[in-house]
Amino acid sequence: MRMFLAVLACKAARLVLRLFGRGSSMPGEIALKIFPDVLSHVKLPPLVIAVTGSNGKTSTVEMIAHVMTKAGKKVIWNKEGSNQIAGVTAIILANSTLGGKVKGDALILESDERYAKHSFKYFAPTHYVITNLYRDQLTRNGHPEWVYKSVKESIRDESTLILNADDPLVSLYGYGRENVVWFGMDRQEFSSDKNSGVYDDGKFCPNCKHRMSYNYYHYNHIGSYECPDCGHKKNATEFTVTNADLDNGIITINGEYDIKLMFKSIYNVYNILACFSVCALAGIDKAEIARNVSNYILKNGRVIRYRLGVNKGVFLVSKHENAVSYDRSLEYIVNKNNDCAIIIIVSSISRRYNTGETSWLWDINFGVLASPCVKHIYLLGKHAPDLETRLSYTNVDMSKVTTDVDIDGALEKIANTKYGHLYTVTCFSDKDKFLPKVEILPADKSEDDF
Amino acid sequence: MKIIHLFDDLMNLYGDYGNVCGLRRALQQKGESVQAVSMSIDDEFDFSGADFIYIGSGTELNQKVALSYLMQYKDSLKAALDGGVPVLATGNSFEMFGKSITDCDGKTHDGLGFFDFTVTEGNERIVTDARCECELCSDPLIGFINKASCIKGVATPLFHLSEGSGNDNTAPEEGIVSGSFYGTHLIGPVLIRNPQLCEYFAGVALNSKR
Repeated sequence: MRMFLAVLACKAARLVLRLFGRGSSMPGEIALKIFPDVLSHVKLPPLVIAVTGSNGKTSTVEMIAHVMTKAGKKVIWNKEGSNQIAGVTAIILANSTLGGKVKGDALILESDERYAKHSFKYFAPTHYVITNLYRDQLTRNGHPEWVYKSVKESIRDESTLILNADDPLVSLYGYGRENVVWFGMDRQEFSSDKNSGVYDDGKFCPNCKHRMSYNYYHYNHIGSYECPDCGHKKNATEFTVTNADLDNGIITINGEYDIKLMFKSIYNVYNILACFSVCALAGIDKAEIARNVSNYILKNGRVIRYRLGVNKGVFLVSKHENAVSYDRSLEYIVNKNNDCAIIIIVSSISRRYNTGETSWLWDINFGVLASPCVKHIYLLGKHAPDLETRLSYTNVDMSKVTTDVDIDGALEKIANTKYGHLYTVTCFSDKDKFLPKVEILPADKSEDDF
Repeated sequence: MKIIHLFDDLMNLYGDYGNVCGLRRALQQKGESVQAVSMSIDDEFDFSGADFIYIGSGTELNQKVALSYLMQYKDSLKAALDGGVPVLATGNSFEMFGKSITDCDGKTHDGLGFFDFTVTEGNERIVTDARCECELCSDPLIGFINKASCIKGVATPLFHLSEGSGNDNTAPEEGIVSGSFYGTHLIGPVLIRNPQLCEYFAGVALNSKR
């Protein structure tokens, strides 16, 4: 009876919210009030796939859903990204019968790395993907080791863990388990002997805290490592990017499956690899997976082509309070080596909370913007002065930098100045201060087609 | 002048190295030639000739690694402090200078014992913007606190917060100042977000220059 009421209340609340054009986790909150442990009583589909980690959750979940749908499975997933327990409850109950049987073949969940432990108290994913752990939203997460503890509490013995072998911290979850599958990337041309960031979270072994050594870095602390003291090292991988040609936008998995990239970033490569791994484990034909993720355009809008006055540009959604995401965006721009102007907007640091915490700017390697291809840098928004201070401590020529807290005024000037290419780097929390001011171009072309 | 940055690659959270960048620039603008020397795990620590010593924030685990390494240099560090070399420790690095740190598993680690306070780590993080008036500069100080600890027994706090969470998370007293030692949980980096405070410490460094 409680199940019936909880499901009914959830569906009704969802319907009402939909009428007002809103999606939220509120229906889940109502259902949890009626039946607090409802999630341990629902009958889940045979495949329950969860994805957590600092970066790549949303994109990976979207691609898994896409591949599984293409393979003919009925897929339920939290595309709204409501990834805490109420959101998870809402999505599950909304897709259940009134008796609590989830109507689908696969449930795919993006799980908040701090709150997964609350959801997975009630049910265990069949497959649990952990993408990476690094400095992300430290105002709520503390630091990666703090998040590590939190995610660890969410891991259930019965789940198959699908782990990024290239992340030394994530790899610790594999100890003492049989049901672990590893994914990772072999050394590539772009891999480096040195960590190019302003900090290195791979310097000390996360297991024993002795100095660790790397054979190579792909980016940040992601790469091939080995601790000379305790022996913690990159595991052999079952799913492997054997070749990644980011210039031409093609990768090969397990030496056999070629996948074309719509977005040529190393992030995208890892997201595709995680998606490939879990879909293959779920029994989908590998060639079919490769075909269906090839040239896949993410709907969650991480890369948007636009026109601003006389310039065309690419909008790269990064994340505030996440230096790694900024580093990848900046590196991506500089590697393109097009003469360009860059617009960086930091106004609302977080969508979730109000803070003036800007120490994360010091973890970003803004020094790469000293590249000669960068003709001008616009630092815009409320925290533009903080950005300017930060950049003044790099070797960027500050005469190329314009600082303006007035975003609209600055955009008008940029619209009338011919720069060739524009790149905009900001976070979801600030994208509405920019995107309504530009003409969005169709997403059906690669981001290089200016 | 010589600024020693201790555990730059271990106690390296929250962009705290920016404090060294700020201090160096402030001293250079006063016409000083400044050398910033990093010393960390596996290095032989030598505080001779130091005009300023800085340590930044780290994870709870890294703080214990730093503390255990620093133990062997306890006497020379104490001698430097007693000789008037200014030490600024931000974030949880200043916790190492007390009597003890009890971690969230209940294990107690001996501190350097320079001061009488004790530290207890918990399972909840305290994250908050911070603000205070202080005698060191005329503008109000701003910063952020991101910690998992409760510090008790500080006799001479550095700041009196009007917003934020103090040493024991109930009273507004924050940080510690004693002789030439300055400790605070304020991050930002605190010397970058508060140029006047940076100027103050540049003055402290200049005064200690022999």
